[in-house]
Amino acid sequence: MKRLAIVLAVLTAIGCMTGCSGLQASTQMASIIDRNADHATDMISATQPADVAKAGLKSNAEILGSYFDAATVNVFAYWFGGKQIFCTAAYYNMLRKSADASAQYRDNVANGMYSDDTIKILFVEENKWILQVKDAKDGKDVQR
Amino acid sequence: MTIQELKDAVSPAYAAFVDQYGPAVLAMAVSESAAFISLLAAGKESEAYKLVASKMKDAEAVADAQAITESWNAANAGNAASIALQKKAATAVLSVVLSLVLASVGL
Repeated sequence: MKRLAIVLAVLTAIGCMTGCSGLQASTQMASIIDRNADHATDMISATQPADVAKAGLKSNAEILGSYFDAATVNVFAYWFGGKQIFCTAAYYNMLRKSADASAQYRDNVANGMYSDDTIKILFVEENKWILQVKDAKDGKDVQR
Repeated sequence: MTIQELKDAVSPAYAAFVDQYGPAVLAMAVSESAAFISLLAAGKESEAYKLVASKMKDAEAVADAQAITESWNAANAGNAASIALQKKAATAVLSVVLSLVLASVGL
């Protein structure tokens, strides 16, 4: 029975570990993603003043741009090519879209195109994307 | 020009992209619409997006950002469902393996 218990424990552990997310990150990048998500949570926990949101759009564009720069759909580039995020084509497209959009919103805001209310909404949405990258890494379905 | 004509001018892979941003493109000057088509025809989706997004007014930018959030929601829901399916399949395989192991030791 002892052998049987050991076999069951090992098989259960293997079974629990089998589910594999479509977005994987290196240990270092996973830590960065988690840290950025913590900050994003703080930012959307209360309405931020427009000047904070405006500055936040700049840093969010850098964060989301860095995620896309780190991403690849090629497993060899992930293991041997210095890329730190390995993901499906669908997630790669989402990372690209988020990077493109955040960079453009930042530029549009700098050009004075948007009202303070719009800037605050864009800031909240971008923080959701940063949280959603963490959800993707963790394989969680949190509707935001 | 119509949305359908825009779609016809680019690869079918960009149909959804044209559905989303086509109306804004149709409101652009002819030269800008032509540039949009050229960029998509060359597979430069990011540049085509930037061309449209650089002209987005407040409401359009908000709608665009919210659409991206919804896309993330959909992607993460699909990812979580896929993980659950993988675990279910692995459990089924492991139960077969377990049966074989138990049979081999006479249990």
